[in-house]
Amino acid sequence: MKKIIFSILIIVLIFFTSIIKNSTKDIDAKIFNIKEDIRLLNEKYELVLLDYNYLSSPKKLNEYQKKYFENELVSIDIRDIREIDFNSKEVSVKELVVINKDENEK
Amino acid sequence: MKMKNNKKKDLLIEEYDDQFSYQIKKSSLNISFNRIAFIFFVFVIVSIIFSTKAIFLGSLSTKIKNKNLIKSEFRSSIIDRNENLIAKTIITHNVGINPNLVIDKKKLLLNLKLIFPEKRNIEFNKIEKNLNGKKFFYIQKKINQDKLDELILLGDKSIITEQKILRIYPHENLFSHIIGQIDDNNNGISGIEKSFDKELKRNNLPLKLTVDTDIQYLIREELKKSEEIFQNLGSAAILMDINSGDIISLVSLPDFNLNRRENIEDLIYTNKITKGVYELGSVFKTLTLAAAFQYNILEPETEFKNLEKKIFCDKYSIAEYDNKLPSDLTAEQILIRSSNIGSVRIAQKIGINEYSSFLKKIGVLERIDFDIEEVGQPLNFKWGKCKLATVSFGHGITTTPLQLAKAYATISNGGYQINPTLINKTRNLNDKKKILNDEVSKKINPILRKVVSTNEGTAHFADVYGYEVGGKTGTAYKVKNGVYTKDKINTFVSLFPISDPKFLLLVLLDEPKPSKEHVYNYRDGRPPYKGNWRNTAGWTTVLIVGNIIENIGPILATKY
Repeated sequence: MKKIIFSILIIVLIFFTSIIKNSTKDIDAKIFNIKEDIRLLNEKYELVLLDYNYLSSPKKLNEYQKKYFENELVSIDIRDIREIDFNSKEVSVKELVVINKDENEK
Repeated sequence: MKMKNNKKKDLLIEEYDDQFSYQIKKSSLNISFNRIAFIFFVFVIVSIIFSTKAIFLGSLSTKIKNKNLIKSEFRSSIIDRNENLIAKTIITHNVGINPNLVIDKKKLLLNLKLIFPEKRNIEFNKIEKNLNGKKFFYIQKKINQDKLDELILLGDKSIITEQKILRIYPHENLFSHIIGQIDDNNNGISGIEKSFDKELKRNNLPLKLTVDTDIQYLIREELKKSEEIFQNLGSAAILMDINSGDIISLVSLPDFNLNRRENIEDLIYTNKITKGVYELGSVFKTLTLAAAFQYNILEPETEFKNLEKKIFCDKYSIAEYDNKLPSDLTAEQILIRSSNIGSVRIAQKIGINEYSSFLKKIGVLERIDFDIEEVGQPLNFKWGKCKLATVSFGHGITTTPLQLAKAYATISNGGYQINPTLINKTRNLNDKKKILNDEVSKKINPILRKVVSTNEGTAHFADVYGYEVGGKTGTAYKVKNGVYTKDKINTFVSLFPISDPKFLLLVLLDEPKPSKEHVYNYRDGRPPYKGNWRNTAGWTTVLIVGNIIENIGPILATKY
């Protein structure tokens, strides 16, 4: 009886081992595929980032501005820029520029 | 009882028999178990040997792989302070054909025509000719991924691909003097690429610089415009945070396109900020006055009476650039009106020992330790009475613009020593070493403001509203082959906002010419001026600085 139980146990173990191994093989294959996909996506991302950096470089933006928005984009005078303070209880708007202290001396 | 005894004996015999037969069975079981155990033991030993070998080989191959990657291929990216890419290594593919392995030439040529419709007939004729030969030839270098995939899908054994690494600089010329170049073996040969070669090969994370791409571009554009106006040979600019030493922009023109990987040997391509060693003229007068404040020798209001228009030292004469300068000037007016003789008198009051040790302390006299190796060495000289006199107004002394920027930053930031840097790293700004008295900055900064804001000053073109610009101009004759020429090096060191200085902008023009066609627009409402015959710093570099601050000011004000 013991022999039979021992043999069955071994057979069951072999059977389960082969099933688990087979299933992990599939998981391994999936992991490998996913890793490859990630690697390829990373490579693509890096290249897209490089493209983005080139196309959005100040030189290119300046070219686009001259080509498409010459009359629409204008530089803003520093005096027209305000600083909004959200930290205080009431939202306050301050002038950004430093008023020349010695302006009256001139 | 006897019966019982006999029975017992019989039973004993039987028991003995049973025991005997049982012992035989146990022994046979033992033998088979030992066999299995032995086989299992052998199996375990063999598997241990194999596993050990496999692990050893596995670790060995990884090491070799990594070594190869470090040595020949990998180089991390370089990014600016806003994480924009400045340099990046990518893998490219070159594709060629081995004609000996081609099975169907006509079919291959047809496929190539479909994949490369942009290639001209002449190119295909050449490919056809090469296909009839026996030597390997390239059909496309640096091929894009889509076309490479199409070629691989053809499944033709004659198509051979090879991997190449390529260092890409998306901003082309913009950072050429900072970044430098690499050779074909992936080794840095100049700039950051050289001085941080090991780090770039080892670290996976990109190397972050302190520079700002947008500001670098705007400053370069203004310097390029100056070439059109003043026909100068070259120019340079540095923008620095005077409290941390972070260099936000460093431009030197002419520059070069890093993607072309040219051999740069012409001296005109010298990095004028770090490597160029110049006599910088009147910008040294600020250092002279600062030295006097450091040693409490005089106050801004201290008067100098009966200043001569010309003095002699040995056989050399020292004269004022403008004979209309009053003979009585205060220490403050000497700097505002850029008086040569006044500066000589201040230096004479300081004395050689104190003055030379002051210049040494603020880092003007010795070679600076910097992030790139292209650094100039100021020329050594012997101190004497005449040397003291000429050095006081910036002649007979040389240094690099980078060192001058460092000196001005120290004078204006409250006397703290800073180390200009291109590498973005976290620093504890509270650990800064104070090397000058508080009074130096407090006294010198308002005077520098007056150089820009008053009509007597030499730099009113830089008085951009809202930025409280202060600074000092410097015009010096250029030395060529040891002889002074009529060509000039014009410099303007500006600091802003001067009531609490944050930024230093230094602009240098190499041999600017007078611009008779340029219309000078004053910032204080005076009518425009055209037909200028002067090419001093006040009429050249100051104008450029004003334009630069106007352009980059909103970015600095909102981002920094």
